Amino acid sequence: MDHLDSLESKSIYIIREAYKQFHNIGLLWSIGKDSTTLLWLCRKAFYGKIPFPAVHIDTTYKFKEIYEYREKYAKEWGLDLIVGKNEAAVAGGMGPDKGTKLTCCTELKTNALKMTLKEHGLGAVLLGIRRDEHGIRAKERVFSPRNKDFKWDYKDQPAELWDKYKTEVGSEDHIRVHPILHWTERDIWDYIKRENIPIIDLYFAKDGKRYRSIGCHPCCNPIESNASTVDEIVEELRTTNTSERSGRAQDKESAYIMQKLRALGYM
Amino acid sequence: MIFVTKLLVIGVDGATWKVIKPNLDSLPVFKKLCGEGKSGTIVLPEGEAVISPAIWTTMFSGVPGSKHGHEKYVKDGKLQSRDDIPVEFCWDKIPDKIVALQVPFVIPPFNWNCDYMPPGFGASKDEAELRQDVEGITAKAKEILASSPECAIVCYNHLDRVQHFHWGEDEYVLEWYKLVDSAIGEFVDKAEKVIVISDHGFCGVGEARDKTLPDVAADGQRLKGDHHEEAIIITKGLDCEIKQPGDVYRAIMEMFG
Repeated sequence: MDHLDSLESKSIYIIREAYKQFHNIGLLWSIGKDSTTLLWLCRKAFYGKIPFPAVHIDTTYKFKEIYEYREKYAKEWGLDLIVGKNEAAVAGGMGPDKGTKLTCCTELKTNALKMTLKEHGLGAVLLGIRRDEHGIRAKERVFSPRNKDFKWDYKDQPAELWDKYKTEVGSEDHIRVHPILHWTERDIWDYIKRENIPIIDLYFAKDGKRYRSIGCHPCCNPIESNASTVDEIVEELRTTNTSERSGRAQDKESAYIMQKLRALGYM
Repeated sequence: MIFVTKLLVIGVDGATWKVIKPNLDSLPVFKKLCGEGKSGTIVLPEGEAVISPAIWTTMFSGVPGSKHGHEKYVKDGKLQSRDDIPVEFCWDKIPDKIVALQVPFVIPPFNWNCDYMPPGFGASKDEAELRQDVEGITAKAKEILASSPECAIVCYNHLDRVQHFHWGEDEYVLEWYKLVDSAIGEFVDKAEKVIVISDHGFCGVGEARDKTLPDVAADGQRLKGDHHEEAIIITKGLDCEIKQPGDVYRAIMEMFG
């Protein structure tokens, strides 16, 4: 078994274990490379037909390519697609230019997800996050409980020794399951190449720039790059010394810190 | 006693003699350090911003604020990181000899050759988080010194946070000085030479040479204290004199460069 087989095997084990424990489970699909890889793994885990919904949280600020990709592949792969949206916040004009970007993320992502989980009775969600992606994600567990307020207490998490996972949660909690937590960015691209997974064009360089991480268009900036194929991206990652999310204008951590600095009078 | 760690630099953001000197009997570690070493006041030069990002940068790069230009944690809406600051720090020049913990020239504070993430990312004013952070930094500092680095840098920024919102509440502020004094006491004797330094002092709002922060923070809380241009310096066993923040960089480079 090679490295990618080993990663895939562990991920499929986690996906199947999660489905066995939580039939009211959904897959969060942002259409990025990681969640699309996770979706691919779910298809393999269940022989082509995913037995739970794919949830896309639509902030209304996504790239148009994301919407096009979503419609095309949801149909082609026979997905039970749920599109979640905080309609009230959208109608109220919430956006990155209104208030802080943290407020925008909270309303259009977090609260939209809360509403969607509640509306569809989902008690568990599969997410395509990776430990190497961001400092705070390094602390994550594969089975990661959230309380009723969606809070994650990283200091009080169950131990996960020898692939034994704690899958019980309190009645008001929900659980997040992270089947590709142990993958790296390089692994993802190597796997995309091996499996020939269709990936959104935004990742491939045009005019010397490409997106390394995608989300809402006002908060994502392309990086300087000439990598226009999967092979070239793999080679670029082999030598890069910048972080994956460096193109994000404002990630949640920065926004949170800036909110704290404002409260200290520094802004 | 033979020390493996030759130099320990303890940075205490916002520490001022105005609180320490009248309360030396309540601050046994500061009292002992003052008795064993040399203590003095650093008067930050006019024209240099009396603000933490600038002074900590100067302290560990030797580059004056007027040249490095790093004065704010956030610039043009972007949280500043190490890469945004155009200087070479002492740890860039002698990377293997220094361990630095929580140097607050950026937020979250900067670590070198160690890993520590403070509660609230080092920008908290929540009392419980600040107390937890003092404990966390102290435990990490002890761990670092147990690994015998040649030079260790450990910084606390809690007095700054407390004094901004509680300046004038003498007993409350003193409690925090006692907490930091006790924390330092847990590891200050693990190095041959010691520098204890603040980036600036403190005073009431309106009393500072340069007003550095607004009267009211964005969450509506009124600020009571502002940065004063007089910082503290205590040295023990050091051959050279620290007259300005940049002299700390020169002392480090002289010893290890």
